[in-house]
Order: sequence, then C-alpha cells, then structure tokens
Amino acid sequence: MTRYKFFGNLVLIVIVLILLLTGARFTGMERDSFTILETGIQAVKAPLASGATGVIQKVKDFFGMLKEIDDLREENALLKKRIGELTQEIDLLRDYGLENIRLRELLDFKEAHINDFELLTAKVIGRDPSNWYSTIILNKGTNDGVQKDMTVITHQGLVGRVINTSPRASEVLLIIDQEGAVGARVWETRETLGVVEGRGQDNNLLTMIHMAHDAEIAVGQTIVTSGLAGIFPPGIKIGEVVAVKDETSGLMKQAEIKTFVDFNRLEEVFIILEVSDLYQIQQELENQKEGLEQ
Amino acid sequence: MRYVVLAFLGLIGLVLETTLFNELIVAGVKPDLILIIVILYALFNGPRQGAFVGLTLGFLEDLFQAKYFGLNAATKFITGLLAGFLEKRMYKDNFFVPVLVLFTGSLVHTLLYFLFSNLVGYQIETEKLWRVILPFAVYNTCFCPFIYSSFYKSSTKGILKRNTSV
Repeated sequence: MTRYKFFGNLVLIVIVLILLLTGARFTGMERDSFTILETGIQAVKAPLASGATGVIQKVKDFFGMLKEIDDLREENALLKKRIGELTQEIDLLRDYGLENIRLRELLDFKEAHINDFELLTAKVIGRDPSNWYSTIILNKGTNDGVQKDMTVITHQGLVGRVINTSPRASEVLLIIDQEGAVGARVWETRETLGVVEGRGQDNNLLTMIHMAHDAEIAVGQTIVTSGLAGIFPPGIKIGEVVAVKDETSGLMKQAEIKTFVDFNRLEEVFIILEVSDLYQIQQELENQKEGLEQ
Repeated sequence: MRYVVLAFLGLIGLVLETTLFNELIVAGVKPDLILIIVILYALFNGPRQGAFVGLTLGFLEDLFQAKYFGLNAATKFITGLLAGFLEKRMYKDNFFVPVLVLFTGSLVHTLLYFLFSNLVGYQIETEKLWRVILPFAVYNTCFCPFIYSSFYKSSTKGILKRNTSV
C-alpha cells in the first residue's frame, strides 16, 4: 500500500513538474498579453513596488546625506591640510624671493667693488645669546681665511668687525654695540672727523662724538669710515645724520646717526679679506684732493 | 490562517526582492526570501506542506515576474519537497541545522533552476551558474540568524503552527 502511495506521489510530482515546465516553456520571456491573474498581480505589484521604492529612496537619500556630510568633512580636513601646505610653500617661496633680492644686491655690490676688496660672503647663523653684547655669528672661519679685526659689511654699509674666529665660524662685534667704536667722517665734507659709537641698543642708532663745536655737519649727510684707526678701511658707508646737537660742555658737537644697515634683518654679509692697494691709494688721493681744495 | 500569513510574507518578500534587495546586491547576487521561507517552512512541516508552499509561493513569484510562468513554481516545489523530507530527520533545536539546510537547499535550488530553465528554453551559461551558486547560498544562509528564531517560535507555538486553522 505504502509502495503504491509512494509511486502515486511520485507520479503526481512528475505530472506537476511537467505541467509547470510546459507552462514555462510556452510563456517564455516575452508575451503579447498577460493572463487575468498576472494582470491582477501586476496591478497590485506596481503600487507596492512604487511605495517601497519611494521609502527606500528616502532612506537612501538620508544615508546619502550623512555620507555626504562625512565626505565633506573629510574633504574639508584635506583642504585645510592642503591650505597649510600651500601657505608653507608660499612662505618658503617668499623667503626665497627675498633671499634672491638680497643676494642680487650683494652680488651687485661685490661686482662693483671687485677691484677694491676681496670679499667673502657669509651667512649669519646666530646672535649673541646674552642681552649684553651686540654680536653675530657667521658661518665662515679661519678655514675660509677669516682673521680677527677683519671688516664686515653689507651692500648697504658697515656691519662691524671680527672679534673671534674658529675654523668654521667667526664672531662679529656690531657697530651698534657700545664697544664698537669706529673712526668716522662726513662723506660730503670729508673733513669732519669724529668717532661713531653704539648705544648698546638694537635700534640702528649710533652717536658720533668728538667733533669740534664748529664742525660742518648737518642732518641728511652721510657718515663713512675714516680709516684712521687702521681697522676699518676708509670710505665705507655707516649711516645718515638724523640729528646734531652740542655736547653738554659746549665744546664739542654730537650727532645722531641712523645706520644704513638694518641690524634686525641681517642675514648675509661680506667679510673684507683684503683691501686692494688701488682702493687705498684712491682714498688717499681723494683726501689729498679735498685738502688742497680747502 | 498560516497560509494567509505565508502568502503575506511571500508578497512582502517579493516586493523587497523587487526593490530593497536591489540595493543589497553582494558579489552579484541578491537573496531569495521566498526560497528561505519555503525551505524553513518545509523543515518544520514536512514534504507535502513544503511542496505545497513551494509551489504556491513559486507560483506567486511567477505571477510577479510574468515570464517563464511555472519555472519558479517548479523549482520551489521540488526544493520544498526535498527540504520537507528532512523534517523528521533533523533536530531543529540546533541552530546549525537550519543553517546547513538553507545552504544546501539554496545550492539545490540554483541547480534545479539552471536545469529547468535550460529545459524550458531559457539558456543560462554554466559559467554564470558557478559564479552565482555559492554566493547565493551563502547570502541566503546569512539571513538565518535574523529569521530562524521567530520562525521557530511561530512554527512551534505561534501562527505558523501546523494545527492552527483559519
């Protein structure tokens, strides 16, 4: 009985299968029209699917918006980073630009004085760590031929003199230091002799002292080295007279000099390794000429 | 009553397959909720019920798809029948049983679909069969943890219990 039942079931299954597959075979992928049942189901399916799609779209939009916020945040962080990098790059390029200008000016000066001095270019690598002395450290030393008492200048004017040397560095006492006295004179008149000394302040101001009370000196005149002390070569520009007054004793005159060199922005300098004989003769001749004229 | 619930579940499943699951395609496949319902139902109710529900929901799917009418009915009919044979042979309290049955059932269903579709004139390439069969089975099986617990409760004590009448 069970066997009959089994075979009966098997036959039923096979029949159902044959019927279904035959149906599938004859309906296929494309048809001209649906059956009533299919039409009914399609009629139900359309609004359901449409509603579900609408809901899904809203959910997708919501999550899309969240993702978009995330993306924007990420993009914002990236852009901020990029701005930082670019700002750094711009600063660097600006530095290069300024350095380029400075170096070009130095080069022009060097070329203009090629017959006067043997110049060595040096970079300022440090300043005196204490508050007492106005000195700078240069990256050139005895290995490069630097010696004590050599004059340090820029294209703008006098900077100071070398006071200490080591093989790879040297220390320069700036003329704005109160110890950095320089023999000076007025470039326009050549005759007014005096001594320029620093005030121990980093304000690029010097005082010219020891001038006779009738010395011809006026605001706007240029002060240059006199070369009399034997340390600094003559004729190197120091600064411009900004004020003239009598000393308290009334016997001497005093002038306030603003340096041509900006000591707060000192980055590259020249060390005068040697002054040419021609330059010295030239300076001497000019002095004599001035003397004769007077 | 349970047939009404099953029909409703089938309808929800079909709508989801038509809409939401298109957003959840993984490895080129989307899950088949109707198949999951058929297999799990057959596992609790035996071959006769499994075959019947497979046939009915497959039929509904064919109506939804409106092509090769009978193809889904045939594959789900046989899959439900075969899964139903395991009703008395499997210990359903063990969670791995439905996982294993769903996985195997999905493999069998894909093979049957491939076989029947080629018989009725819809040529599926063998290469596509091998590309789809495993991800499809894995994806369907992944639904087991979310569905089985409520299906178990419903089939043993709830609305899908066999003696529950309309």
